[in-house]
Amino acid sequence: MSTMFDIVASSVLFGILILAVARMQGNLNSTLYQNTYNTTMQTTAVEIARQIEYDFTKVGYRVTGRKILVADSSKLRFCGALTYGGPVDTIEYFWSEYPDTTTINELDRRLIRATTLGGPISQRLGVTEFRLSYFDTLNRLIPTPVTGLAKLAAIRSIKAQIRFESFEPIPEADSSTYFAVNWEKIIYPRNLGKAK
Amino acid sequence: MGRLALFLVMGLGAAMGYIGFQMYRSTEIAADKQYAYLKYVNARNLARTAIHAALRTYDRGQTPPTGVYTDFGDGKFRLDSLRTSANSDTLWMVSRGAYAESTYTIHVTLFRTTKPFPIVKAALGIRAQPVAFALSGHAEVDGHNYRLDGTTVVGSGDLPGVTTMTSSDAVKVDSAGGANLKGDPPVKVDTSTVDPLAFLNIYRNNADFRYDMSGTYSRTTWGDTANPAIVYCNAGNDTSFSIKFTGQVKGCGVLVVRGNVQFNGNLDFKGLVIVDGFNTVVDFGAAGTPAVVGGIIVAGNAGASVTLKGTGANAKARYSSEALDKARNIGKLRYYSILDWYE
Repeated sequence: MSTMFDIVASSVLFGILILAVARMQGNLNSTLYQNTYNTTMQTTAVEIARQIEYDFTKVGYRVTGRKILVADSSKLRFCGALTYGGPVDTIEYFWSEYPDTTTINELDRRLIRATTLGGPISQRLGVTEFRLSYFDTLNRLIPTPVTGLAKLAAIRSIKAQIRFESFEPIPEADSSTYFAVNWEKIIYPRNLGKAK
Repeated sequence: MGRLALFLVMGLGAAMGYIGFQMYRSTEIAADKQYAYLKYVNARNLARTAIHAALRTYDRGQTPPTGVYTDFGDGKFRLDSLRTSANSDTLWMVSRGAYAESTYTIHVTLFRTTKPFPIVKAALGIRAQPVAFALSGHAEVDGHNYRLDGTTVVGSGDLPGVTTMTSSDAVKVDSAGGANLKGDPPVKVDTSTVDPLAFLNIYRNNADFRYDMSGTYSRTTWGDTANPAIVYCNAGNDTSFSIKFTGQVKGCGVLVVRGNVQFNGNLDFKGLVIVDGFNTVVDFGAAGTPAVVGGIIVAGNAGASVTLKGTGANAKARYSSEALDKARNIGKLRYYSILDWYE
């Protein structure tokens, strides 16, 4: 009798243990998943931040004529040499007008970086916001789109604001909540307004 | 049964450990990325600091060292190379910032100049009109272009001794100065004389030496030709000599005089003297050889009364383009324009 009781009791305990382990496994998987997206988002933000800083600080480098050609709230086209003593290139950043259909996230769009020498690169980064603002020498906001040669020549700093979101929503949350990282910075390209 | 349970627990432990390690790695990768960005940003800021530090060293009249790291917080910066043009108006610099294993290099080309300087086109340019001008004793005003020493003539670039805004003032000055006014010509009407009033606030705010209190001062040095200085003497409108220099006074740069100032003894000032105020008397005393080598401008205060006195035999105000070139190179008034900036 006691042997029978041991078998039943141990079976029940084993079942409880299995259920607990399965539940824990699910939670761990979810956490791992979230961690992975978190890492991806942060890594993407850092890498794009470095890329934008690298490019935007080159605005006007080795350029004697017009330095900024187009300045809009989600588009910037400028001239500058990207390497020390290198050839002057035309670089363009713009945020696509259309949603990226390859992801579940309905708000993200491709960020396109194009250079005359290197061609365009469509970056699938989960960018759900890409906003550029322009300021003059007194740090006054210049309304976008910046039109006219005089206003384009008056730009002294560029504020970039980007929001990255995960391609897929957070598991076990509602379907419209995504992992997100925001990055923004005002960049002062030193070659804007230079003496020559 | 007991052995099976033991293996089960050990297996579970191993699985938990693996999952925990993966989670830790994931977090660590994110932190590494963030920290790498922090290091990059710090290195960049340090490279920029190297340039600012070098420029401030220049402004103090020194040459910044190259190849020497300066510790700053947990990082360091240095100037890798430094080159200047023959006339020192263009600088090429390469700076480096280092933070942990991150380094950042900046290449810059800068044009160096000073803030606009009132141009005097005579030994004494009078912007005020009408002006009550008196020149008593043996004070000499000479528009010939002298070298920095104030004794030898360059041989070219001679200017008038005194310029005025109106012909009636020119007649008045000519009559008051007589043979003590020299130059090409001794007196001339020049309406293009720059009014220094617009510059006075800059000079007052950046003055290296200020005399706002009445008193007697002696043995004073206001910079030199390598490090010209700004001197601001504000004696007010008191008709008595509220500021008096009795002994050796020498300097180079910009001297702003508002009110009555008396220079006794061997004044030796090279550069630009701006006479401000309404009743200003610049008195070169009886003893010694007081001299201003460079130029003097009388600001455009309506009805300004200016008296140059030279009771001694050697007081003089002599025009010198060399002295004015030296004087304008004041560190505090220097600024840099970017010709090229690569980072």
